[in-house]
Amino acid sequence: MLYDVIYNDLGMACGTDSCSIAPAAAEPDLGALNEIARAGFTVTRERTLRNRATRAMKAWLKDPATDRRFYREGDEVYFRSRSYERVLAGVARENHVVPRCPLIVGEYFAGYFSRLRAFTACGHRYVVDINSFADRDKILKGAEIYLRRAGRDDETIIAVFTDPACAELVEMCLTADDF
Amino acid sequence: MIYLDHQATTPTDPAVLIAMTEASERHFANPASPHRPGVEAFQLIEKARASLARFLGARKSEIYFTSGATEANNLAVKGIAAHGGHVITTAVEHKSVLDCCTFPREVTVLPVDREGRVSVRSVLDNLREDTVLVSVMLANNEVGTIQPVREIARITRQAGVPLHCDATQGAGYLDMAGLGVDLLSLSGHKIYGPKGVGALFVSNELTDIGAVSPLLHGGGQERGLRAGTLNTAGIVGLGAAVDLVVAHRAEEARRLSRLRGLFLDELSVDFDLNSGTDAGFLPHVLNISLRGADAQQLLPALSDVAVSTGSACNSTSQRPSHVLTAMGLPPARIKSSIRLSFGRFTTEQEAVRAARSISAAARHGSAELDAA
Repeated sequence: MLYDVIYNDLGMACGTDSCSIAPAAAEPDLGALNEIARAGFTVTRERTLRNRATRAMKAWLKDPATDRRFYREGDEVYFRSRSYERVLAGVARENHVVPRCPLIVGEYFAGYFSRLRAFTACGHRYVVDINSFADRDKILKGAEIYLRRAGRDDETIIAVFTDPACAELVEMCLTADDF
Repeated sequence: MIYLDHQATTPTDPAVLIAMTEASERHFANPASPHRPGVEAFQLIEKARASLARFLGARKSEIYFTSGATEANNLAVKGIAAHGGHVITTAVEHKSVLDCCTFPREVTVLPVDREGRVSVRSVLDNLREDTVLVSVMLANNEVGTIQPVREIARITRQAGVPLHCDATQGAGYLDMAGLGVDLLSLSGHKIYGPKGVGALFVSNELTDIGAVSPLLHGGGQERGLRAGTLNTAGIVGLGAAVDLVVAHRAEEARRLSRLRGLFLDELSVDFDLNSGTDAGFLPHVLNISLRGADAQQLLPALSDVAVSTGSACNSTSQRPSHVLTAMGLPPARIKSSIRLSFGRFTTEQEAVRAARSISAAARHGSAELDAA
């Protein structure tokens, strides 16, 4: 069992139809993060995930034929979702690339499952991902991006949505077979 | 009243009602909303979607909720043939398929045999370069004939032409997985679920290439293929209905077939069987012509049994059944035909009582006709 906390140092917010970036978040509270680490959690910064997503998107832009699930409309890059009408994966202007929330979420699922694959004796790998209710769409979009592009039969995402007090939980189980 | 019109609609199963009532009372929020009540409603919808996906041997992403089979059929046919092209269908389809196949597309309506079955060969022979869709129902709503959909699917797949199947009537009784179709419609109220909800299966192969155009535009729900706020309670009811079908299908089919046999044994007037009772027909359906009787006059005399003449959806048209006509039945036999179908809550006693009532009414009606 691995524990991880994602630190939102990007301030990105995702709606069903649109994506917005809030002003850059303040520098992380290192004291709080260190405390989390002492409790046995790893800490993942969204900025790190964004940078990975940026690199992946730049690679795709050089050769779009590598993945037909993405397509470009002007400056915008979309993922051909099987759940949503449109999933904005990022924006590319000249050499400047900005990945959007679903692609970044897809990156963190990729990272988690990659870590779990180190446990070779494990028969099935689960990522239990706890989020706020408001993040439902970006998490589900990101889960689809990961599962359809790289998901394996032995991988399951359990997306849990909750309030800040974690008093009410709503869970959803996702596998590559769903899509 | 003994209800024997389960092909027109089925009573809502009490377990479905319980699920729907709870969904209506507790999960009224818009499932697209980004708060707890919204996410809870969304979760219920996704559970129902998973039930339908398992039922059809499909992926969750291939299930689209609609207002019923009529909308699903319209979406399938008009959505695929939005830009015209040649469509193949059969003479015994439900009107919701036949009517939207005809205009403004070029349509080939295939004939059926005396049992109401289309030949696989005729589908093959009528495929053309510009054929954009073949639509064949799973089982007929008037005589219960099961069509050779799996065999037709092999041909259409080889030809690269999408196959749509209106499975509204067969869904409660036949194994739906592995039919090999590209689109499939079904309705809640034919399988002891609620009215006003149904689903269309569309294979990802079609939607990935944008082959289906939406009829309703708006909020982008259902992957943009069917806009409109989802009917949470109805969808929950549909999911519950499907789960019940899966749990009891085989055993229920045997029981209904026995009821049908019991009814026929008890029928004490001369009749002709318009539907079959073998494995090529739905187990609960019976279409008979009562010799010498006028079915339209018989119905008012049947105060304790609810049956139909021809398709209920079409029963106000005052035209002879297009299905029985396509099967080549003579007008007199069509005029004396009634359609019965046994259901989940029909008892043996009711089957026997219904046979006696119908026999008595038919004898009385024949005597009046003779006297006239």
